[in-house]
Amino acid sequence: MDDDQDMCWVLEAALSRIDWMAVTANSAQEALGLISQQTFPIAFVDARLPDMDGFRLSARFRIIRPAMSVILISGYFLADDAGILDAMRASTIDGFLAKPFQIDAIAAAVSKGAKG
Amino acid sequence: MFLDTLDHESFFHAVMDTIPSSILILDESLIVRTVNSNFLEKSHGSLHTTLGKRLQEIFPAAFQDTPLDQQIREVIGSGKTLRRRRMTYRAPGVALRTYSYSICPLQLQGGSRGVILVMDDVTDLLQLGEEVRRMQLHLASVVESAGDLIISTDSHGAIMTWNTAAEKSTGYAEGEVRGSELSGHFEEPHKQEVESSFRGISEIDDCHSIEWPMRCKSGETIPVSWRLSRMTSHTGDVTGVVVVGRSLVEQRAMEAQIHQGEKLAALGIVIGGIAHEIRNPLGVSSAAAQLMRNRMGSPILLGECIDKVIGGIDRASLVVESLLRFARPQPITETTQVNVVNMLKNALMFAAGEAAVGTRYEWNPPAETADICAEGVQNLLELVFINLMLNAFQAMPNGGVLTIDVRRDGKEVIVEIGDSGPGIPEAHLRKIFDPFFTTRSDSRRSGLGLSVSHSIVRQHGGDVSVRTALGMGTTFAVRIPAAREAS
Repeated sequence: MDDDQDMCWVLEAALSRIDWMAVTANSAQEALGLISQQTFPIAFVDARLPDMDGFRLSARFRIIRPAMSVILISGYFLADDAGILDAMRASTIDGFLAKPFQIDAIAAAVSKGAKG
Repeated sequence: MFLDTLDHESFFHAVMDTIPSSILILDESLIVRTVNSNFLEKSHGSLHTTLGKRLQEIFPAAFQDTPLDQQIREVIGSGKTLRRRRMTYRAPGVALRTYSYSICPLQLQGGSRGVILVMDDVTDLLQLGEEVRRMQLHLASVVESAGDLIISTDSHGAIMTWNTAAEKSTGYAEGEVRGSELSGHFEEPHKQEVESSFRGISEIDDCHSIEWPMRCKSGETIPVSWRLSRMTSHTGDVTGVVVVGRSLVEQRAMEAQIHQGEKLAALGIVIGGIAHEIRNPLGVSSAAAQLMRNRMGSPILLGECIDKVIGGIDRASLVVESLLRFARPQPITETTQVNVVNMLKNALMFAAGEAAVGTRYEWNPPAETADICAEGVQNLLELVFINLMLNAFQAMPNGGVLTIDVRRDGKEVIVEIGDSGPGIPEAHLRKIFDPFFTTRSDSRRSGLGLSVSHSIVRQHGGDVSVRTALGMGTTFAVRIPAAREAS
């Protein structure tokens, strides 16, 4: 989920390349709706959504879908940001990708995180 | 004439007994010939125990350290009055009392000489004077040790006193300024204001303070906030003015520091916002380019990828351009006729990416607006409306309606961009055009958008105004010059 439509398109394209079906959401509200209705093996979450920050959204995912992998994507944070490291330690998130990212990193995250 | 009608003896006794001093008349041998009732009261004596007695006999030993008898002899000898001497009355167990006395030579009957001794108990007066002096000293030390500049002037504005704080703040000692015009310490136009305050001296009230920067000895001026209050005599006439000033130097320094801190904090937010704004499109472009490398065989995807690459780079460039515009506003030299509707359509295309799900922003401009042209620089004006639209979309994170309205108004074109968001609180309205002002805690916007837009519109000779209602939405109205008629 990313409020930037182009970003969603990129992730969708990257995932379809490795034969994964992606569902996109542009806001936290929309994403929570989707997650409550269906099961997903992995979620890519933008750190800054218009209606909620990505950390809080990830924490809610943890409660609703404990088995789902959550990868945080951000153009705002650096990989060694305290906030990111804390979230990794608390296992609120399973991974972090800084924008711009490598397409291969998406594939790697999926093969590592998705046990479905 | 009048004295002829008097009975001298009764007149003498009346005077003696009404004067509120102790009076004794003595002859050359210092024998008491007459005393008044005031003396008898004070000495708890009677005529019987007083008249015909020598001075030493009736004066208590406590007075004996004053050579009164010697002084009386001198007065009798020289014929000169001795005025206002002081003697103290020290008696064990009694508080010290002070008397003021005068000795006057007197011609007695039968050619002999005597003196009249007049005594007043001035103990209370002296104490009162002492208290007044102490009070004055206390007041003076309060004025001197006050941190505020305390200056008093006469009713024409000439300086009478000038406390230590005034000396410290300005570098002028009291001696240098006493008697000079207070207004001389201010630069125009404040000098005029000071002078006119003194001209309307009866109007001065101390409820208001006013800032008049004051000139120092060093030539620099310091910001000072002043409060004037009239001094009036017991008859109600204005005798002068007390001018109390609070130096704002420290306060200004503190404000500047806070402001600097705010700016730095704002700069951090800006930098974060910029990073985000640039890395997003970069991320898109980069990922699209990476996809291309692997998908040279799929023309549809390839076309999409190329669009995304170009679009992402364009968006990143726009952010950078906004920054540069802000950093270096250029005067506008080359203007062209800009078709407003087309320009707004372009802007909308750019900004639409920010629209939240559930936002309605379709815009069908009425036919009569199709030919409205403004005079300006196309890409700058476009930037203004992209910014306004981005703000509008971001004010509606849960969806809403974007409204766009274009109309001619005489020699101007008015474009209104409205949202159905929460509105702008009163407290923020003053600041929305300030650089770096943003209410978005998530730093998605740098806070530069409106200030850049504002300065671009001003450069075009137009202006931006805002209408807002809490809970209803906000509309920004931009007035720009209409295109000059093609000659």
